Amino acid sequence: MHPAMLMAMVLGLASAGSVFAQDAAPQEAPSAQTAAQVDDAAYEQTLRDADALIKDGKPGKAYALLEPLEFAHAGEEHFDYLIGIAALDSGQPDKATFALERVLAVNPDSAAARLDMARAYYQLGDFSRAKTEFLVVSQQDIPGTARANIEKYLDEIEARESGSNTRLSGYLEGTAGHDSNVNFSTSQSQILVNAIPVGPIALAPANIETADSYRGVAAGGEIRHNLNGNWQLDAGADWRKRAYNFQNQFDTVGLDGRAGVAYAAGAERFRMGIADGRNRLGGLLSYDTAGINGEWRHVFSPANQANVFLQQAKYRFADVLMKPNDFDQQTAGLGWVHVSVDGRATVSGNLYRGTEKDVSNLVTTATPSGGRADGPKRFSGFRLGGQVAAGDRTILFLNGGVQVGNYERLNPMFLQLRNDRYSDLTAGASWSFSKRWTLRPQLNFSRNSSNIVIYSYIRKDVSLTIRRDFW
Amino acid sequence: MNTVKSITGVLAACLMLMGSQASYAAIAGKVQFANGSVQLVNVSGKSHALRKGDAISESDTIATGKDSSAQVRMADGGLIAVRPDSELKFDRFAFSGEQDGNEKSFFRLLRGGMRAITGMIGRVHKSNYRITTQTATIGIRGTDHETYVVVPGSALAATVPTGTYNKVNTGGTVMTTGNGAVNIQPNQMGFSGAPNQAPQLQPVNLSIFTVPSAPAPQAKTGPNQVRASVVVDNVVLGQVFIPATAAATAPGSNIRAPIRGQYQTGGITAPPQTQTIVF
Repeated sequence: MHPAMLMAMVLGLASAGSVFAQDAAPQEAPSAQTAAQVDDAAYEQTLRDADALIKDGKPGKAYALLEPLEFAHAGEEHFDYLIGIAALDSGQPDKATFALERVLAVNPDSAAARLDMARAYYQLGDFSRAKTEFLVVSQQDIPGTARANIEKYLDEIEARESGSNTRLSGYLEGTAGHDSNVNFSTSQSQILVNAIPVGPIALAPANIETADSYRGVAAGGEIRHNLNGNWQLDAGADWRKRAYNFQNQFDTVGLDGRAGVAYAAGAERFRMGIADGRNRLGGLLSYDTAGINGEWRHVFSPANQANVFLQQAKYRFADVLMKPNDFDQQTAGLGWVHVSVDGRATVSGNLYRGTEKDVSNLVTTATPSGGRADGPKRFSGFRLGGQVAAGDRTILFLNGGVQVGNYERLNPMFLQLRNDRYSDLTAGASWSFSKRWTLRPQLNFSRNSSNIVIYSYIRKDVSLTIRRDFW
Repeated sequence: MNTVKSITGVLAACLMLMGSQASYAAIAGKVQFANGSVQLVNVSGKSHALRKGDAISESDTIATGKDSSAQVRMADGGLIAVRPDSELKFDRFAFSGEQDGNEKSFFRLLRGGMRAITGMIGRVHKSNYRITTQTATIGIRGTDHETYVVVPGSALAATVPTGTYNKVNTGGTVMTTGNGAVNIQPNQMGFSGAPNQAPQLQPVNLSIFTVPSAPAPQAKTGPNQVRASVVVDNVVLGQVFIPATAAATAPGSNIRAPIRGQYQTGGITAPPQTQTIVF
């Protein structure tokens, strides 16, 4: 056990014992003085330990350290402020406001307590009082970063107030970039196929790695409606288009829609949703997706939350030559998100497993028994990511993942069971150069390594996106 | 004579024991914070200044002056805050440490405001916790709520209607009058103007439920350093979490178009022919 915890327990037991019991008989004066000095030193050390724990991102431990001392030391400004922020940062805004009320009763000028009080009101969903206190504290002498954060809170409160129970959001993006592999293809122009031992087979030019520059545009919107304190409905859609300068047969257009219902109570949040997508390639319908998904999210504290998710999706191709690739996909996973003590950095990750079942009954040369040439697939993978605020207007982000896929049917052409290892990495920055405008330079690297060469590729995509958010 | 003395002695001892037991049981809570002018008025009408650590017994009333406030830690673990310029009577309190149905926590708010985070009483037997005012009774269905009574002649009465206001922070309450009841959810406010009027939900009135006093002009900001950004700010800092779901599209579906290959057949016994295959 942490020595500070032990000391706090001892001090706490002493304090707690005195709350509803007779006071102990006074001791001899010199002993009492010595004991008081020891107690004072231990108490000061406890405050320092609690402060360090909060700064170290362990507010729950800090609160546990201070809570047994609350009765004895309530009314001392520094103690009340520490226990208040420990409660706030550990997800107990109601207890935070109780402690911070004491600070502000004694010292209404405390900008530190008032700012955290406003945050606590916001966490309680009391946006009116949060707004009042944010506005008051913004008139006081506070750092620029705090002022910038207050503006974000006030914007958020204004959006909530204007939309009552319904909230709309939307965006428009324009992108310019360069894609080293517009067709996700191997760099080899000739391959060997075991089932056709006549020599190398020349791949069609459309199936050999090709680079091109592109322009893109995207737009999307979302609506959220609160039915009551627990239930929320949401629906949204995203449309995106990418047009290559020369390789127009690989121009893409995608439209994805989603809707769901969420239930939140305390630290738990559940969501069930449906998703639907339509994708075009080179001006022709390419494939449709449709699926359902569910998620259970548990909030351990403002700094940590975990989730479990399930997805079921159908992928259906339009081109008759692509129809054998139709599949149904199921995915299950676990995720985690951690926010840094100062709220300016986030790391997250998830682990998942899934299956793809090929569902086509078309028989072709490559699929003599129907289904996909490589058959069903089992896959598992992980994704990791992080982002950090750099200054008041910029967020740097980095995320990536690895997925291993093992197919279950011997490929009739290559006479092999296909095994893939897919990995990707994205790095970039998001610079909000004004309230609703963002500039996002981004670099993406992806690679699929397969024992069947036609499925192997390396792709590098560098882009610059400008985004305008609405509402 | 000796027998009479003995009986009297035993009776006196019993009465003392009962008295001591009764006074112990009737301690509702103790003051953990008192700021400004905070008075305790006991059942016989005697009053004295309330200090940190003082016990609050059943039937005691706490009266706060202007810019004064107090917090009481209840024996069942609950917390009570008494707002400035308020009078709160601890009508009835019984708690043996068990939620056996005999526990009780009844308050009477005579004027001004209070906030309560409930303790063990009311968790199981919700009817054993209530706050009564001149115009309404408030029962709990949750943990954290605030009640305010605006009386005629008070400063607030010049700007808002007199009556009882109840705001819920977390959990829920039920405001009841002789003419109906209304359930109050988090961040809603109930209002009752008179005992014979139906209570109703109204938008939260910040002139009633604003707690901290404003800072003085040119105020120094106090000994604690302002925290410019903290963990809870992530809800508004534009933190876009990586989607909880797996990669949206599995690599297999990155096949964007049919993969075609060509090879030659014949050549010696027959004219060479180009064959096309779709993988």
